[in-house]
Amino acid sequence: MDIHEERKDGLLVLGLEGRLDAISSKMFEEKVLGMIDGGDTRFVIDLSRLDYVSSAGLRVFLVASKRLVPAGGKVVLCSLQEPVKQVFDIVGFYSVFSIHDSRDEALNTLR
Amino acid sequence: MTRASLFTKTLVLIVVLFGIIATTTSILSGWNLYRNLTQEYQSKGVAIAKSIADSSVEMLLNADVSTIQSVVDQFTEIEGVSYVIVFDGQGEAISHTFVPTVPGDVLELQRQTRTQAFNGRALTNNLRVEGMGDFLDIALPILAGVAGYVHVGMDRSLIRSRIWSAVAIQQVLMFVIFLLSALVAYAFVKRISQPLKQLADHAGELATQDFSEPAIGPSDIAHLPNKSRDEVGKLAESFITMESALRQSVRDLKETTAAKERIESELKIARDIQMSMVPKTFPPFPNRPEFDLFATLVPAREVGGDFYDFFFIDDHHLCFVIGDVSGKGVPAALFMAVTRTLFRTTAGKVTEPDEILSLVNLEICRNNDTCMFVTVFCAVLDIRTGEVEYSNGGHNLPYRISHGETAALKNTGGMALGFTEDVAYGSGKIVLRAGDGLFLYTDGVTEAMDEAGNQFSESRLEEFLKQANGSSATKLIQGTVDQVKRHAAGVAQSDDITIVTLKYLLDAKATMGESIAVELKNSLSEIERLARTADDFARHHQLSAETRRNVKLALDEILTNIVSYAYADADEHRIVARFALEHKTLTIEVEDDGRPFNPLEAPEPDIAQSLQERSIGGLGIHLVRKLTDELEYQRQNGRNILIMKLKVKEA
Repeated sequence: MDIHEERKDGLLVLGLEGRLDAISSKMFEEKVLGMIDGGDTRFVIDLSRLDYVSSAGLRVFLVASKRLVPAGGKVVLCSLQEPVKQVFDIVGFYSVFSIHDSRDEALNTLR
Repeated sequence: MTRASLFTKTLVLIVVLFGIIATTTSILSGWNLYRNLTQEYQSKGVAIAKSIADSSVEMLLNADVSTIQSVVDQFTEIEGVSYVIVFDGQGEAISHTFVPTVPGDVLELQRQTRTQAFNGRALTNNLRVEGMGDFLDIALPILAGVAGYVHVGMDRSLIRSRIWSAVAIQQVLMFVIFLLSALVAYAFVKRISQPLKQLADHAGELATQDFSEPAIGPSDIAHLPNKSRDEVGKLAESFITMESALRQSVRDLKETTAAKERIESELKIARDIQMSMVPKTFPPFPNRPEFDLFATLVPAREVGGDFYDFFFIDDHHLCFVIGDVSGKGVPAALFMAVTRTLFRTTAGKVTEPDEILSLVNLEICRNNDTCMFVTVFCAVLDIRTGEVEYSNGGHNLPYRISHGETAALKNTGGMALGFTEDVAYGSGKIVLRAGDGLFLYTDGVTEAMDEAGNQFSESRLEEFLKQANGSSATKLIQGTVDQVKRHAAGVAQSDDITIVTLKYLLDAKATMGESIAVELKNSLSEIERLARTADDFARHHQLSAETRRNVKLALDEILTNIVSYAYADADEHRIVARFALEHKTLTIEVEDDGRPFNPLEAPEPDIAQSLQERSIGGLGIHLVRKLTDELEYQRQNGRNILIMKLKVKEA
């Protein structure tokens, strides 16, 4: 999996590309938690190019979000592909996360 | 050995001959001597007796005994005379040489003598006197017996001793002659047997000689014919002639054998090239249950350049080729090897049979100085769907065998490869259904001739294929080869017989009873492999994209769980996943030897909870539950078995 990193007005935009499974989620988790420790609090995660996600990937979204609560930070997700959407649906993430159809929408919620 | 026995035989002969001669001459000369000596003694005795008788008449008449005695004594000095005795007219012994008295035998003889008639001759008797010996007694009357008688005794033992000594001398002489003869015989035998021995030794040596090499130096019996101009010389001459003839014929034999071997080895090289170029392991793809493939190549004595090949271009496309190179022997075999290699490399670059043929043709034409060509049929089967795309380059069109119908495929146009670069190869397409077969062959099958020159022919082949409907790929080929051989009935095979049969076994729409299994290590990197296997299986059965996705995700979750939590140690473990599709239900079993874990007992996460309340774990199992229709857990023989069932949706 590739992670495309972009900073925009103090927001961190992470574009995920490929598969987010047990192997790649470890790297992803380290990266995100490192950023949080570095002071970043507002994340937009763009999933438009993410083909696949397993529970290990889902877990990272949960961990990151929980970590950000005390600091008043937030993870916003956007542009989910159909298969990923289905998985999110099954695990009830739509009620937990702020999920948007486009990146701009997601950015707006954090501004 | 020859000499010894020859000489011994000669010696025995000489001994026997000499024995006979010595015995007969001894007897003859002994008897002769005896007769002569006896006669001589007798006449000697008679002469003495006469002389005594003549000289003693007066003395007897005068009874002058002493004078008579002196006469008598005087005769005893003569050799051979043993005794002399003179009787008077009354028969009284008046003078004798016996000491002391006259033996009775002599007196008795005198008494007999008196009664005998003499007729003026002496009377000879053999007389034996006990204690004195044998005598020849010669009696003579004196004055007709009036004056008396005189007896002279000649010693017969003297005769015997003289005979013996004469015989002894003769025997010694004979023995000397015998020895000389033996010596002469020895020399003679040696003279004859020496060349014979040389011949014998030479003959013995011949056996150990290498006749394929020229003789080293002149023969050691070369001088014999000149030396002995007899039978032995002739024999030696025959020997020398025989030896040179033998050498010549061995040399000839060696040359013809070498020539034959050269041809044979060339044939063998060609066959080896050919046979090493075609796959010979069957079934060639044991992990592919979708089709049954078998092929055979029965090379003719002189290789005909047939070949076949089959290989996967990608996971789902099987390329198979059959071809026949023009010409025979090593050139054909080499050309065939080149062609086969070109197919392998080209089929990786392009995947359409007509394109493959075009490219291979181009390559062959580019470097075809020998102007050879090859007829080829090339096809690509999509094992998921049974679709066969094919293209033909001047080869015998294969047969499609489908539910008792046998029909040759439609030609696609295009000639044999190698003639010209400027050929367009067309393509054809058929779809095989479960049980359908393809029968590819070379003209070695249809052109196999019987004794009368009748070919096996297409019609006979079609007839057989119709009858053999339903046979496996292997049986189809064996049956065909048997038929062709029966037709040829012992006539030598003039061309290679090559057959490839493919039987498509899978009808994706109807057959749903197959299963596969995959063995995995306890490593997260195996997730991808498991996903690929699942995907292949699902695609193979033409399951929908959604089903494929769900299956892959569920398996990902399960394998991740096992790899991450099932093992307390860091050792390598085996995890087995089995896939089966039956009655539109996909069943997947995952088996591991980790610690007991029943995912069905794991608490369900409450997905209605807020972010704060939600626990991090439990999502994977939740996903698996939601993605499958049935979930079952068993613990068997220390192994966890998780069975998932999904109602499949077809694409």
